[in-house]
Amino acid sequence: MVVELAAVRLLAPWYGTSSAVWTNVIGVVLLALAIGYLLGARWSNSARPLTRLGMVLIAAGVITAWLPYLAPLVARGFMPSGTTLDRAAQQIQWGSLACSLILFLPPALALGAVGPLAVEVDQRRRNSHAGTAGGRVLAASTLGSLIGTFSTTHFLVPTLGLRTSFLLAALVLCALGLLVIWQAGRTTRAGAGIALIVGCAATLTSPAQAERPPGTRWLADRESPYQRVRVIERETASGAWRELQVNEGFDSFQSVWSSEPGFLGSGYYYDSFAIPAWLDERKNGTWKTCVIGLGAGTAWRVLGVELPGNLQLAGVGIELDPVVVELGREWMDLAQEGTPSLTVLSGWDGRTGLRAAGTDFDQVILDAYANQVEIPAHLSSLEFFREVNSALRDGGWLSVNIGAFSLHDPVLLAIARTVSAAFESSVVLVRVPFSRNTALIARKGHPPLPSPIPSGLPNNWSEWLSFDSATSRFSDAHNPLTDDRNDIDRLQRESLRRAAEERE
Amino acid sequence: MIALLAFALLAVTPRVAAQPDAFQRALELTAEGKFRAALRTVDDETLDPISRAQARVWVYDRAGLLDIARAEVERALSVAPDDPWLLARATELDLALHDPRSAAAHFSRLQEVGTARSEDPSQLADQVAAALALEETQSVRLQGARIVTLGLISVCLGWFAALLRGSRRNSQVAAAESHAA
Repeated sequence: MVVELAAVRLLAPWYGTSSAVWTNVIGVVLLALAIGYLLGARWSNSARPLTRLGMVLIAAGVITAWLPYLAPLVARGFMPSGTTLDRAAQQIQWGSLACSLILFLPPALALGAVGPLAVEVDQRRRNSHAGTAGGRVLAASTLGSLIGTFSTTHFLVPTLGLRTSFLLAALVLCALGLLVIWQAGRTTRAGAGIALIVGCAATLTSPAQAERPPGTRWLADRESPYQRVRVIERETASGAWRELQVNEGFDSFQSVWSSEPGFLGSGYYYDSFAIPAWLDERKNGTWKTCVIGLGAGTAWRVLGVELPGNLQLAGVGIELDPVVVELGREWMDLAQEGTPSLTVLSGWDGRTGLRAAGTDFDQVILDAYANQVEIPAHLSSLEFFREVNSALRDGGWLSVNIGAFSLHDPVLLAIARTVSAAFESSVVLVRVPFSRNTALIARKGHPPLPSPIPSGLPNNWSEWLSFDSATSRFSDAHNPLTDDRNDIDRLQRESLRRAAEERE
Repeated sequence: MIALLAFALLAVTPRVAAQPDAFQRALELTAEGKFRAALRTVDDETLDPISRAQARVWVYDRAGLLDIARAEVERALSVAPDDPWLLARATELDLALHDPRSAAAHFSRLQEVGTARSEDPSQLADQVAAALALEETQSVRLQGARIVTLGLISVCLGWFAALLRGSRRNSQVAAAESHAA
């Protein structure tokens, strides 16, 4: 389980950790285990199954030790640098499958052979029935998998890192193998050689890293329980510019930081989060926000200085990944712990965090993405948006950032239908210039756009919100996504497919 | 820097000799961010079809609605397929929207008809070449990934079938031996 769980993380700098990558890795591991079981069954008929068992364990250990070194070489081979997110779909699907087959088939196959050999050894040594021996081995292996699952996610990868986790797993496998061979009464001259091979791997392997974009400086690079997170910096004409990226990155970012707080300009959807405050009637007091998917706090950094009148920013930010919050505080001026008006719920899921965050919000901002492009199903359902509606004051606003290729994108339309059904009102879709993002705006108990649109809004919004090609009112509430029936994953694939077709 | 930007803007701004006032007014309105008014000006007043098409492309391009600008430029090229300004914008929009093959086709046509006097095509040529090279690399590696995947899965399935057959044979031999004993 250590190898299987960490395998996805090993590919993450190039292919991400989307459901497609998980499916490919799990599929390859299952295929390898199936062959390994049969191979183990064949070897168990040999005269010395104990020796075979030891050799198989050692082989699995040695291959595992080298995986962190081999992974970058293989992964780079199928994913050229410079690939953009909207062109990577096919590359991710096929590249991650090819990498999984090359990298993880051999160790998983060897580990699969362990089971039948262990049953045979147990049966011969204790002279027990096949069922008894099989039950004992299955119980032990399942318990081992359980420990491996929890320790990999919660301890090994976040605290020791990927390379050390793989090396630790390799050392355990090799030690077990040597112990078994020693028990078989065989001399273990190979032991020193194995130690040498694993030791070489320990000194030679370098952590898997995505390629560094030219002209950038890496400020931080950390493993989190969910993903690989890094902060990169580059110099621009207006000063330093930082981006927080996860996993494969491509041409996308999870948060951005400019040396000057405030509007980020064309191409950045964060500016659109300020539209509701400018359209709202109230221009004094506290503007209470709840940001679901806070990241490193870019939404707050924009709103903090761009709210109209005398509005003061306050609220709760919910972020699933605690490492993102730590790096945000370290490098992107995210509110520190104990800041009176801004509370960060670090390590919280968006939906449970919203329930804990309170009510009477002036604005809820939803900017939650998993694996770069996937809007989580439980944060795009009718039931969730009804909870958002309940958390808002009367006249409160919802802003959602949605990646979409046009105003007819299937993901955008499905979420618009769902919000429209939950709020029992029309919604507004506002395209973000020079980007593939669209801002969805809804308002509790009121139409989201006043008529006429007020003049004098910043960022040329008075024009933009009246421009049919950029802004569209949407009121279809049929077939919303629900917790029970939510095909957002399929719609996201459909969106990418349509975009590719339009290029053909 | 401002002078440089102004020069760059002048180089790519659409211009046709002796444009009617409406055309210039549309460009000015676009520069002020009054996109709707610019489109109204273009559509309402008398303009030749190419100037109108150029102005519409320019409005959407400056507004940052690149997919619409591209649709406009394609429509305009069906009216004026050899217009160098439209071909250069089409190439740029294709590059911005990550469509290198279309960019190459438009750029190739642009080279045939000759670029507008004010535009230097060398930078565009480099960008098109880089985008095409990346697409070629992507295509080759995707093909490689498919071949490796299908090859390895075939080997695995064949191996699995062989092992399964061997395992069945072993079971039959063991059963026969046990029966004989």
